[in-house]
Amino acid sequence: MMRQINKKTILLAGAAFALTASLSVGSAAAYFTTYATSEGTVPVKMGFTETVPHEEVTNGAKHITITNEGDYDCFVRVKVFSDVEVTYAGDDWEQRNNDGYWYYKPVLAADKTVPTSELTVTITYPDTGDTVKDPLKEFNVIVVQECTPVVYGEDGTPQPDWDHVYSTQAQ
Amino acid sequence: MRKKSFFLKPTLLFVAAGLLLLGSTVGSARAALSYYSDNYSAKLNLSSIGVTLLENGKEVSRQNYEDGAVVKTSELLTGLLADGENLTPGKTYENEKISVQNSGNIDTFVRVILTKSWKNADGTKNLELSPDLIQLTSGSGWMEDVNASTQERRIFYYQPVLKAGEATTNVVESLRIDPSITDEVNVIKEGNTIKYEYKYDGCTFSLEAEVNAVQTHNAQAAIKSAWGVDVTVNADETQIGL
Repeated sequence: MMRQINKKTILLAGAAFALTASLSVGSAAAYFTTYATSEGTVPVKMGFTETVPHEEVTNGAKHITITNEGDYDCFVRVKVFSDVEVTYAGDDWEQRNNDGYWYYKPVLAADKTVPTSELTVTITYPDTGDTVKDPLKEFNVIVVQECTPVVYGEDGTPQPDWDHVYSTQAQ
Repeated sequence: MRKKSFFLKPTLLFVAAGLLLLGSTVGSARAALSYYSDNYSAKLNLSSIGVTLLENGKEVSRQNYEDGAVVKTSELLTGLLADGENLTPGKTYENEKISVQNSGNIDTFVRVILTKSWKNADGTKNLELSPDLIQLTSGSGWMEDVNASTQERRIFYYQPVLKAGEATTNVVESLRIDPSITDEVNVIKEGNTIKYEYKYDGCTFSLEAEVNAVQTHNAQAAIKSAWGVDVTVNADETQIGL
């Protein structure tokens, strides 16, 4: 007798479960739904920004220009280390915040045929009291130029990020 | 006397059978006439749901009732860069716009799931780069489910009802790669020359867009059933909210 009741209970429970399950399946299939997908990829070939300084010494002055031979537009700046006094002159070049750098104001495009305008560094020979200045006397004038790739702001305007600079040095 | 009644009965029965037979013939003739009466045709306009994913106004993927499965006609991002152009981190690319069109004949509510990820140059998944560096801006009318969104996946719901044949505003208005991707560089010394290479040069970013559409009738229950989310629906079923 007990065996028969258990069998019935199990069968009824099974049937109830199947009915409940089928009910939920039925309601899920009752709505109109659809979907569509698509995807795509883009390689990030970043290359790099490489700037090359060009120097020419004439009449006691260094004439500095820089070309951008890399893959991206950039901003450039120059710092001169010297054991003699020097003066600077150049269109589109300016000093900022008295940090010792001369900044080229425009964006330097990634085009090696178009250098910056010239920055002239004129050396002032020290007055040693000699009647004749020694033309063979050596002075060290070291030029360090730095560049930073153009960073675009939220509004799309090009900006420098001088916290990330890449430098080359010439003497 | 017995013989007389014996013949009367069969005769009556025979006559009745004959009448019945005639009657049945007439009936079937009527039925045959009604069978050959004029034909009338009626056009049944069945409801069908359909959705199409658009990139810059052009179809890239769709699934309509008659398709039976997703039909992919193009990939995303194919026109992001011009031939020979390199991707510039930080630059906002305004030429990447994604929207949705209702290509069925019933009104729907739609949502879009955008999934972003990075791959190394060898095709393996890059786990160092955050998908957050792939920045997307969305247009008006779209509401992001910030609780369900992650760095890798963002879910947007289009609030107004999308009527049959109409298109949404852009769920993606523009795309930008965060310039901080250029912070990491490898320094290579070759004699007196120092060269720099971006650490993530050659990586690939990918974007996947999935659009889901559901009927507007009984929208709250339909969306719960199909998408598993609770939404609010206004009284005339023309607007949803989270």
